[in-house]
Amino acid sequence: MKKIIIKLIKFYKRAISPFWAGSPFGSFNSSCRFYPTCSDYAIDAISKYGTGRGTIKAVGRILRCNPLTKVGVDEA
Amino acid sequence: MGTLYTEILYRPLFNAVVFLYNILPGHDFGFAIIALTTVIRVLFFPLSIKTVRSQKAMSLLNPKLQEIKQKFKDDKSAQSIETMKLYKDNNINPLSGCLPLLIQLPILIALYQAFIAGLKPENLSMLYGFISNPGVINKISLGFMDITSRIPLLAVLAGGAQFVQAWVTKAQNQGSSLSKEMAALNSQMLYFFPIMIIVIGWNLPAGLVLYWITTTVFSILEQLYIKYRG
Repeated sequence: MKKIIIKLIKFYKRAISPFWAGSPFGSFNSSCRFYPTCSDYAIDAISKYGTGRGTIKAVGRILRCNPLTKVGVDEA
Repeated sequence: MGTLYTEILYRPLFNAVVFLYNILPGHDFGFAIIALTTVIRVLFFPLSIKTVRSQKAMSLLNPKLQEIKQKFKDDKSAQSIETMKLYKDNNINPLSGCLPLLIQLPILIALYQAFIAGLKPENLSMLYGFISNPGVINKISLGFMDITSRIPLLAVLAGGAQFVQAWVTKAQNQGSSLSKEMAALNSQMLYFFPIMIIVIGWNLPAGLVLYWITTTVFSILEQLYIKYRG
């Protein structure tokens, strides 16, 4: 389960994420506000805390990743 | 989860498009699609403009960014960390982040579904009580376009619009502090994405392609607005 989810996130990172920049909804600044990026954070969190808690942490991170928060370093 | 999606996204959007169909002169479903897309993009406008504006402030930091790049040439993660620190110290929010992008996905899918559903009379039972039931939705837009059929010319138009959008974005990026990979990605998008849109649009019902053209044209106008007035 853990491995499958991490594989899926890696697939998203490689195959889907780059297309945001060109989609009508995105623009060149449509990218993650944090270091590491939300995808990397999710991979770290799930490896570290397991599927359940890791996923919750990753969702929380995505919710924080919006124009209202301050950018910065935020590690899992 | 399914019910939640239906009740807060799909059904309201479906009702909205039928409502617009009812009130717009000519009872043209094509116009209704264009109108609803425009309304949604207008709602997102403050968010997009906020992020693009801070991009301007970013360009002032360009010398410092170059300095960081030089200093941590061989260490990518140190480079990212220092860059983030610089943004933070200067209270700048250059990137819109992941949430706005991901939030758009369900909205986008619901819109697509609502547009397709609107064309089938049996779905009209999904209408709220206060929206009058038009009975049958007229499939012909502008007097000649069957929006349920495939219209390759529209797909080509959508590809063209996408090209213009990528081009405007690229022009705006010049001189900004974009990383080399980002710049390369942008040039790829310039040619690759429009072609992809044409290929996909070729087989989609014209109504959906109409939506795609509208949203892309809105993006172009948004970019131009920021360039000249923002």
